[in-house]
Amino acid sequence: MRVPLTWLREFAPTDLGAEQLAEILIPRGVLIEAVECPWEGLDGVVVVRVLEVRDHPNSDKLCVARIQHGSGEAELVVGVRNMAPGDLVPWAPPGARVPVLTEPLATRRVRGVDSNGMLCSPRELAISQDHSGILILDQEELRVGDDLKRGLGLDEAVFDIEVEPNRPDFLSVYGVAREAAAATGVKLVPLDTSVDEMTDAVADAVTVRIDDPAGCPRYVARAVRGVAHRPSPLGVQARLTACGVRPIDAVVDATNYAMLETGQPMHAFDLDRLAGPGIVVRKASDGERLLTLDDVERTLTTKDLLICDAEKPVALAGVMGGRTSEVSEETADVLLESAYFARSGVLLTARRFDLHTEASHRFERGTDPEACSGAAARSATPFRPRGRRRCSTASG
Amino acid sequence: MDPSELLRTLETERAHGRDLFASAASLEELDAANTAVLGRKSRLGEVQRALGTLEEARRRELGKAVNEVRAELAAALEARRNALTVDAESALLAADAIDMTLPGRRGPEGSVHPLTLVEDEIVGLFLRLGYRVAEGPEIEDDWHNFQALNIPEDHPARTMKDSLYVSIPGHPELLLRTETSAVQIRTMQSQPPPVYIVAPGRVYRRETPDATHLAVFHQVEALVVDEGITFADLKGTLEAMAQGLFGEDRKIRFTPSYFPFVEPGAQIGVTCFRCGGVGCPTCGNGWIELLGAGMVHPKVLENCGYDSERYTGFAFGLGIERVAILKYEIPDMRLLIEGDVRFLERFGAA
Repeated sequence: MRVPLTWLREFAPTDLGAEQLAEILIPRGVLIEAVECPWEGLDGVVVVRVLEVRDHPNSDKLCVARIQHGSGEAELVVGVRNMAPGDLVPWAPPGARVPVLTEPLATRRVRGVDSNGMLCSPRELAISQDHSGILILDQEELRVGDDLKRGLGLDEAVFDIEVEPNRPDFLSVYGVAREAAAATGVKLVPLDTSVDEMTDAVADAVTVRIDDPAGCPRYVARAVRGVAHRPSPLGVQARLTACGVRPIDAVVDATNYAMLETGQPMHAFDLDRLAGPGIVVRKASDGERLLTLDDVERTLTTKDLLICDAEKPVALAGVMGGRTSEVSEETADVLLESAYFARSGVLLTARRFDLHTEASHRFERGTDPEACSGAAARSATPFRPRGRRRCSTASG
Repeated sequence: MDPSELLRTLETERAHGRDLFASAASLEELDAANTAVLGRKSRLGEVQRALGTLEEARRRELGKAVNEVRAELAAALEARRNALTVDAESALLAADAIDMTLPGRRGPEGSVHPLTLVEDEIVGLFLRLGYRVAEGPEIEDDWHNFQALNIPEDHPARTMKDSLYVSIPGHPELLLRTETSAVQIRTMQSQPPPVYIVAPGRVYRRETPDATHLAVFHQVEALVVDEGITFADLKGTLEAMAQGLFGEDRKIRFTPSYFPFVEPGAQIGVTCFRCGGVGCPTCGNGWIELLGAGMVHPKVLENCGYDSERYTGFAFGLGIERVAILKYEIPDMRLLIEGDVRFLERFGAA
């Protein structure tokens, strides 16, 4: 488990530095194997506004961008042109350093035009793997002249923790924060699980039926209407990347973010693609088939627990979702699953299919049945600065 | 020949034959002398043939004399033959004699393998503390290797290490033991408390060997079960071991860790024996993580039929290869199993 220190401090607001905190936590069983600084190589990158983008006089592909930084203007040659005048972008001026380059930036002549530093893609800043274009920054989040590292909270360490099977609570940022709060004496900040609920009755949106209460004693479902498929805020993307999870879009990221934060695995279904719409949790019948998200057709046995809609299986409980109900770019309404599955069943299913996921890893070690509801709320309203979504809840 | 002449010849031949036999220097010469003295064409033969010409009384008298001389010479011949045979054998033996004073040629001398050195040292330490050595089979069943050690079928710890299974018809669920801990179970099943054992042995994991891991390696496991055993006993024992192995000044530290068969469990670090704990290339930060330990889980005691309300215990296990590479500054664990004589010679017979 990888825990960014800024995230940990949201719940355990200690002033201790990374090394000091590690020294306190290790003897308490938080086996911190390394204190990493993924953004150590990032220095001097600032937020600038694009004023003009024009063709490079001697190249078909390159362009020349004129930018406004905190104390004036500058020009530089850029290889892509996804930015437009008015956009905020990250600029590494001469002398600045970015993680992907070993040397600081300099002023160079590129085909007869002086180029001062570079504009950066998300990958060049170690924020995500995206290298398709220059990172366009959020106008509400950042201002011209801001230091990008400080502005996005990229200036802190990440704990790389080896988690033994007896401490599944350390498979979440909140769990490690709980230990850190106890160890340092600071007060643990409770998770804010308030949700801006819709007025319609959730029973009208979706039904939940559990046929195997031993395998699934609790199933919390939340319907989220009108989701927007846009990238998550950069700070969120950076945290996911630092934890080793690839940012996709705000919907998928929200479930992963909530899982890393609370330790409760989440799954998002496309509500419109669920027949009924309703959820049935039951044991599979021998020979029943399910196409999982990794495009493998799985042949099931009566030992495997299934999540089904009114007609067909839609997920291998606690292990992996199915293709048919996968969230896509077209998804408007989402059904969020936040459940407790019995350890043993998930472990044996995951082992038999040799299918080990972030979800199965947590379920087979034991999750907190009391965390289901809170985690569902967290992933229904994940990124507060961006405005809340409207939700309704159904649980069984 | 007249009788008196025959008598004289007889006397001459008696003396002549004796001399000839006595002077024969070899068995060949003796054979020649035999023919010359006692043969048909010898003088004695002539005398015998001449007997027929004599009258009855003389013939009987002389015949008797001839027989006496013949018998006497035959005896002399035989005596000499015996003497010469013994001499010939002695000569043969003398010619073949081994020179016992020659210095022998030395074969190359083997040395004790470093793993054996370390194992003997650790086991010796515990024997002096009053422990006894216990052993178990290297092919174990699932119950001894896992279930009895509080690792049921659905335990996540089963994925922590990959096991090598053995396929023997009629014996399902056999595997090469992944830890010497199974010896704990077999010992407790075979005797009532108190238990003070040390169990060295070979273990197997499905692992690709590298500089710090082998697929086949050795552990030493210790188990103590008695009334009133506490964590303090574990601490004192480990301190004694660390100091015995790495020197009197060693300190130890406990970090919480997890092994299903102990509760609580700990990882034990020892101050570096090279730098004394300030930090060096051997240890990094002054501490060497040496072994895993803990108080025996009550379920493990109960699985072996012990009363977990009455008895408590501790157990620990350490890798012999790991101690060896630390102690002898061996850069790559694989050197220990390659059998390169140049490497092994460094650990000359002590």
